[in-house]
Amino acid sequence: MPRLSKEEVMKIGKLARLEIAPEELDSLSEHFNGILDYFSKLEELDLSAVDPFTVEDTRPVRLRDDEVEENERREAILNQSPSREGDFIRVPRIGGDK
Amino acid sequence: MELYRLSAAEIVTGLKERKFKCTDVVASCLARIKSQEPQLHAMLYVAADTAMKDAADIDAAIGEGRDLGRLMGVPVILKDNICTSSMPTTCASKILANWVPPYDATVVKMLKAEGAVILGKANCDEFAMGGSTENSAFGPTMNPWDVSRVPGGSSGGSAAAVAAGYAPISLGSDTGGSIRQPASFCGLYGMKPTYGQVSRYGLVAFASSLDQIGPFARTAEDLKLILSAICAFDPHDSTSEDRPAPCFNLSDAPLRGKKIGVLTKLVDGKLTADLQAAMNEQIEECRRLGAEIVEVALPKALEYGLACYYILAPAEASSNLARYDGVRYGAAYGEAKSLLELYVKTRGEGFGPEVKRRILTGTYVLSSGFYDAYYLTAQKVRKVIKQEFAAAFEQVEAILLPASPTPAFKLGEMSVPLTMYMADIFTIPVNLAGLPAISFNTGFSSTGLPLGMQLIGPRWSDAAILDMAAALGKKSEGRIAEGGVR
Repeated sequence: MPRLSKEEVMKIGKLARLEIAPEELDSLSEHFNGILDYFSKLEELDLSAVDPFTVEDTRPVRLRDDEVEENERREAILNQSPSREGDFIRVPRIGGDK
Repeated sequence: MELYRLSAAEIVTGLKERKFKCTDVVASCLARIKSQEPQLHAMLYVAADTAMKDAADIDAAIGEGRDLGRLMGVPVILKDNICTSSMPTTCASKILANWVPPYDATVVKMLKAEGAVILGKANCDEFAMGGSTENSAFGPTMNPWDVSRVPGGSSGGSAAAVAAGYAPISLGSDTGGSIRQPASFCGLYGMKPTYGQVSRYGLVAFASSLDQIGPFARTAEDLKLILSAICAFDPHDSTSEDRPAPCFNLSDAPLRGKKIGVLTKLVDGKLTADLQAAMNEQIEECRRLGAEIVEVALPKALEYGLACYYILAPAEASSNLARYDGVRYGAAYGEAKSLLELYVKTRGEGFGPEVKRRILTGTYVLSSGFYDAYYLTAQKVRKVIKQEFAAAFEQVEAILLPASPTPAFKLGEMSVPLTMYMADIFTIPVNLAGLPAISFNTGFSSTGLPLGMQLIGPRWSDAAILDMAAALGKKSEGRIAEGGVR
């Protein structure tokens, strides 16, 4: 399996919406490559005949009826936001990032 | 005798017989917490005032001759990833440092409905990711049997609290061993029920296909009591099974005529000497209690389970933890000029190193071009491991394994994450296969550290394995730890 460069680790950080501080990068890269090496163990197995998505031991997914319900926790839910304004949540500008 | 030493069953009986008041029990537990917390740090929140008020209400109800339920007046402690509407729920993370959920988890509702008194919230590894409770953003918990050692994790606070006598029972969560390993390190019973047996509604999600809430207790009788209270179908959890609740019962000779599987060949050389001796003793004990010992084989589960888990669990975590973005709830960090910057700064600042490692790993294994090589492969391995267990359970009723290859280790001893991951070798396959397993104390090492074993059963054999584990654990159950260093 491939070894990841520091640039690639930064790119994964971007995909995960995680700021990686320069001082974290070395240890993260080292960990990353260690664990990817470890994962390569799975290549020893012949899995060509295995279908991972048959679920003989569980029942089908249960869905609730699509019914409108009153939710009494509206205020409590809005109050959780770190930037509530009235009945809205204020966020910074959307888009325009490189 | 100090009331904090009582078991849950003794508290319920004593209150019914009016031997003491619930306020006396709760006050004794709160005093115990106060005296032990400086050396243990097992709690993130102690609800002293509301607990005393709840206790007074219970005393009043008892005065009126009412029966409030199976856990009437029993103090209970919850892992801090279980939602409570009247207490913070931080998941031991900075990103949820001040978060009070707008609802109670189903298990919390059920505990209250059975008359339990919630004493507070226990420390854990951040978002339940870890095996020592050292990954808590609010500092580690110490093992009450030896405060220079970890209590295990991720439910380390829940385990330390019960071992130290803060409460007779607590709840934790187990995604890869997070109940069974700390139970083993702290000399307790700890159970991971069958996936789908206990509602996950209100358990903050880490890896949804593996997570399961379960209890800690010092006695099998107490474990039975709390399991009877929390095992039920919940329409709010789509993976909760709509089946009759199991009938937990402790019988006289649960091992007689049973076949117990062991993996002596596979385990050989992987255990410390004291745990190897404990396992050999337990095998003899099973025979003495009338069981037949059968060598079973789970070669793939033990060889490939870890790699499989450390792909699947981070993959699910990267998706589940995407919700912490500084917008709807939790903390927001930094002066952000754009929404993207708000996300990136909040998550970069709010999550600790282990959570970041797992989110990044999960993001990578799910990313375009690598999905087949990692995630799909791991799903296939998971299937193979399930089949391997199914074949083993054609031969035996339960499998006896250690919960951890070592007793409690020292704080700071496992500083390399991958080394820490390896310690989960005996617990992780159980989560991958959705099985129930229970760890129990078998005694103490020459240096005074608890030595735990686990019994694994087929799906929905929760009551049967509790019965068997109770017979094996009876001799060394019920002790309370006094702190100090050994």
